[in-house]
Amino acid sequence: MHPFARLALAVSSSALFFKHDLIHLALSLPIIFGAYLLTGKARLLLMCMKMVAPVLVISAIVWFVVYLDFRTLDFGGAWLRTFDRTSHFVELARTVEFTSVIFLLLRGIPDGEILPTLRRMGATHFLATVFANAEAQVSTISDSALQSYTALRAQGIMSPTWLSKCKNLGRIIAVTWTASLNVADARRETKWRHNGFYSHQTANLERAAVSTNRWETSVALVAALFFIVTNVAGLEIVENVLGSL
Amino acid sequence: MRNRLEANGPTSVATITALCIALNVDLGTIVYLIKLPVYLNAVGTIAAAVLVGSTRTKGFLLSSIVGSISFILYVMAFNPVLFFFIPTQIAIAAFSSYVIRPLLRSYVLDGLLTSRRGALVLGLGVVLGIVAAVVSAPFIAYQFGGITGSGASLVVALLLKSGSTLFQSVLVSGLTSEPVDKTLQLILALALVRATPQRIRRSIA
Repeated sequence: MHPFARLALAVSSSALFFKHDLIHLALSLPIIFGAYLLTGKARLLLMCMKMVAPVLVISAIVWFVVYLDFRTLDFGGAWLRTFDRTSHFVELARTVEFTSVIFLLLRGIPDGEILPTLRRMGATHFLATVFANAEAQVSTISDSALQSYTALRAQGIMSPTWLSKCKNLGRIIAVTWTASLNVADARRETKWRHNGFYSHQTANLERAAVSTNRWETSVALVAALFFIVTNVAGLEIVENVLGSL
Repeated sequence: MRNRLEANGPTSVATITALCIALNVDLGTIVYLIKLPVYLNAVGTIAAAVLVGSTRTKGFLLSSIVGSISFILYVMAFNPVLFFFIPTQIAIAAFSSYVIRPLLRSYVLDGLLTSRRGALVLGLGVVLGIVAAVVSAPFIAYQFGGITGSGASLVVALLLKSGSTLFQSVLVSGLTSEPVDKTLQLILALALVRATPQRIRRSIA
């Protein structure tokens, strides 16, 4: 996907916040599903749904309980108020729709192309470098944390109880930080010495290739257009059509 | 000496900034995995504000980058709805850079924990929690409809049921949980700053 199309889709998806209405959200849903499926990101869609489904379910349950009158036990009324066209649950659904587009745009970047893609989306070189570096470091720190946890358990310092975990949280973090800091510093000394690597990247980044699949770019641009038509430009047309139905 | 620091400057700062981001993401994930009732997702932001940059403003800019990118990575790896907590991270970065950094500078330098400094750390942690709760409240109320799926949502539900407005419920829920969490995060961040070798601290200051 071309970085411009990625940026256009991100900006246009913010149109979801122009209208706080269940119908407009329902109209945007096929666009999001279509964008995921037509760009071949069905597994990503599944992953996103697994992440947001618990939040949506908890929100629906909590609002249902809040609206339920325990004296009359009017389940139907509570149900209608929870899923009303302009209910608070709809606010969360709108946020989830927007973030699922952002999720597609960020997670859809091919491996190794984060740096040039972010640069072409307008990020500064420092920002793009820090982002790509941080993404790579997440797994390093995660491994260090897991090793620290295992070491503390193996030495008998930490037991599986909740209290022991709380007491030793500082130890896990301190060991993880020191180990990660040493690795990062050693890497900097050898690979990035005197900004050589950093300068090389700055000089050569313009030539770095970004995968720009035409089909994905077209899908993203069409989805961006639909977002704007559905939520901003064609608002009255959509409302009239829905009204006539 | 100055030339050597300038020569290594951007690289060292980029490395530590990235490390603080990864720390934010991983600590949040660890506490989620071992089911602790805290968030711990701003330790790297606070540490960066105190540790990185030669001036408070530079510290603020870099720690804002740490907070913002951390939550973008959360979106990518953990939970897409966390995107709207980026302003809270920027508020934490501002408070840490302009208030915590100058007030706790002497403690960071000598590491002596007197009773007065201990009280100051606790006080600043509580105020940081209040700042975070106040900044988060409008986003939780109007972007999430009050319910984010965390344990605090139950407090919101109870308050709504007792007749409070949505914004009041979200604010009170945040004010009950955030000060404890942020105090703990401040203590951990200061411990990390103290644990960072002088050589590295000099290269990124």
